[in-house]
Amino acid sequence: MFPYLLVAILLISLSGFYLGRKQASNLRSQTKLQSLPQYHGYFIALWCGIPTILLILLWTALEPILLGSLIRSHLESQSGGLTPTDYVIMTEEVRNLAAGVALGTQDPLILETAEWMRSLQQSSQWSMVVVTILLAMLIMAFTRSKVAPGFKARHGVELLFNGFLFISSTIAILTTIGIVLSLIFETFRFFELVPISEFLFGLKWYPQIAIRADQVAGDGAWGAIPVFSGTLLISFVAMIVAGPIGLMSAIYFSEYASPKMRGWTKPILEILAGIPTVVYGFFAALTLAPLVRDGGIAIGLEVEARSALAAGLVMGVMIIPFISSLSDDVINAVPQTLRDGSYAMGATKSETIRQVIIPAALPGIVGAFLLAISRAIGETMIVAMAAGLNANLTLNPLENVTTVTVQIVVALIGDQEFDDPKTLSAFALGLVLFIVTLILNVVALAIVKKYREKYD
Amino acid sequence: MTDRNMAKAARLKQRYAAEARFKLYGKLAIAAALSAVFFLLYTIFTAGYSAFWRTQIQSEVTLDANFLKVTPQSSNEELARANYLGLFRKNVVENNPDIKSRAERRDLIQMFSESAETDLRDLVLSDPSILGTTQKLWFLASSPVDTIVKGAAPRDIEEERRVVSNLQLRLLDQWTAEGRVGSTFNINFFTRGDSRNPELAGLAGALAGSFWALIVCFVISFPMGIAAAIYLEEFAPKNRITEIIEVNINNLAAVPSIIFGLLGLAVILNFFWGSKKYSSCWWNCSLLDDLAYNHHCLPFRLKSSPSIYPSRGSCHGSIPDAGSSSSCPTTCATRYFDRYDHWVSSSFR
Repeated sequence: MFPYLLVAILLISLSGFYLGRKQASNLRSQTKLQSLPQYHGYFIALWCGIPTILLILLWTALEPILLGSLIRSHLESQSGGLTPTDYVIMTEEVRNLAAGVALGTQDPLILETAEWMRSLQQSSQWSMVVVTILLAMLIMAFTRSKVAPGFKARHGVELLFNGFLFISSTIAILTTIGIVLSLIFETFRFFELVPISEFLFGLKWYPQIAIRADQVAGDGAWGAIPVFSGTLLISFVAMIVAGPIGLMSAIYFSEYASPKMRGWTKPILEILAGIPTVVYGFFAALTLAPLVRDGGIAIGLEVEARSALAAGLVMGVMIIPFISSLSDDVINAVPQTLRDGSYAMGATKSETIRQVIIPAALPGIVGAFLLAISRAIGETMIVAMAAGLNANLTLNPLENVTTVTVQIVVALIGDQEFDDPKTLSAFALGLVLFIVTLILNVVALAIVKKYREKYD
Repeated sequence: MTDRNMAKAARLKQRYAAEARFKLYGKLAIAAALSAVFFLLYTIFTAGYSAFWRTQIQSEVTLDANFLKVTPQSSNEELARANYLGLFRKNVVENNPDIKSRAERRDLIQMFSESAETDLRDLVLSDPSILGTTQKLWFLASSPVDTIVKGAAPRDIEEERRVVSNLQLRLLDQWTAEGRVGSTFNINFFTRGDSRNPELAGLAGALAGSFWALIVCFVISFPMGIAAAIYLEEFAPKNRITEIIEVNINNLAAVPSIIFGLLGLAVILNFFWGSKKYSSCWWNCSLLDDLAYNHHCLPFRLKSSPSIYPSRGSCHGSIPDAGSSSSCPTTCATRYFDRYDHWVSSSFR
């Protein structure tokens, strides 16, 4: 039904376009029009199509909800004394039966209600067809009566397009609001179960609690400090790798490299940024972690199989192109006059770089590093595969630590209820992660932007 | 020559040495980054290429119509229901008359994949006149045999720790000498879905999941992203609201993907009655907005976008993981990895 109806509406819009254009061009042969004939056509077509399609979508979205509550009240009036869960199950059974999924139910009440629901659905579908087509026709008749020499059809069309463009651009804001609201609501539910002071200052993270009444399990401990410290440790290792390598290669690319060398090395380096992070995860867990462990044992160190070092090293490799691209941009933005002045004083190239270019580009470089840190903190797949699961409060990179993102993943892939503190803890951790990365991003982007404006 | 000139010359020498050192650091940094690229690619390809090949073993099978209790005239349904697994096992045992004990026979049969049953059935169904003849056929080897042939599992260790038994290893060497062990392109890898048997597992389900996630993302985020970019570049007045939108888009692209996963879980799960497929659009939408807008003048920049946020959309890990019910290679890889991990830890214990 649905696709046919859409096609019908589109056909009505299309005929509206041709009729409107024809009508306007007839008028045009007699007098001057404010808008060209095709704009009258577009005006009619858009007004016929958009509101009716929105109505269809709204109808399709609301129908199951309304029918569901109708069925439910019917079931409640027919059979008394059942728990709310029973009604939910019965409603679902009716829904399935009405959709043609037979589950072998013999209950006459359910069979009869399913039949009733099917007839309701039928009539709802047909009335949707009638209502929307009538609406489209009505709008067409009304808008066609508007076709006149002085009518500003083009303004109307432009306004509609402008509205669509504006709404598209606000999607980003709506998404942010959605993230903030969903995180905050779920986090509040978490803090009703777990005190906020324990979460922020507790030193033990042990999110295992009984999910059945008869299960033997710990009481759970929700101190997130070890999780944060693990995240910082791994990000720190990553920055130790990516910082110097990324910055030095950016300097070499922008100041020393010949165009030819730059032309073939830079794309290869940027392959690193295009590799899916799950591949890095495999690399970290299956290649590098054993290497690090064997290397550590060979020189007499005790290294755990899932060490922070291995995960951090691979994450660092992932971030290298990120730092080098951004730093390259800011170094290139330093005006040539500063370099020329320095050379004229007799400074060598490296002295110029160290004493003139780097200080001038410093804010931008700091911004690049902050963005890289925020990327490292939020990175998920590498640590989910290569870092540990146990929260371990340590600063030793050879030990096994966990991160915020790993704990979110772990919390969400279990069998718990949605209001279980373990599941909800994912949202609390997510909120902290969101706030931290947001601050880093805002500061970094502001610095980079201000810096770019300074030299533009 | 005065002392002053000599000091000057020495100082100049020092400065040039510092210059050379600095340049060397730059070269070393690039060399380190490039070697990381090559090492990564090398390990990925050397570790992964063998998945495209599968080991098969040639075996003689007599398609005994009496054992199967069918005739070439039987209906397709009867033919499909016959006991091909039993027939296959009987043939394998009869081909190796020197193997007598029950445990050894089980070892022998377990060298072949379970797919032998369906292979034989499909063969008979496609041509019932083949019943009663003896055929030399290639059968898929089971995954322990496969890993030994590919050298992925060690063979020169004691029997308890090896993936195949001594008997299986001896038979394998014997058959290899007879030219009955071969390898072909692993078509299963692309045509089949998940399986408990590693040699039969494939990516088809995961690829379909990725494809649909990608299509949904593309249909939603492409028009929206381009429209937002056009609006902000061409139409929007420069005021506070558009500035907020701009900052917002920039930030969204840098928000960790797992946060979008959480959003998908909390909001879209409730909205779309449990269908998790849509959540990955959010991240991609913001990504595209950013690509299109942030790099002003979009037709050019989209082509030559300075890969700060390159190609992460579909192959990114955490959204499908947190918010997708359909499978996709990344999710699949994590699952596989989890399993592998358990396997590793249990074999160490």
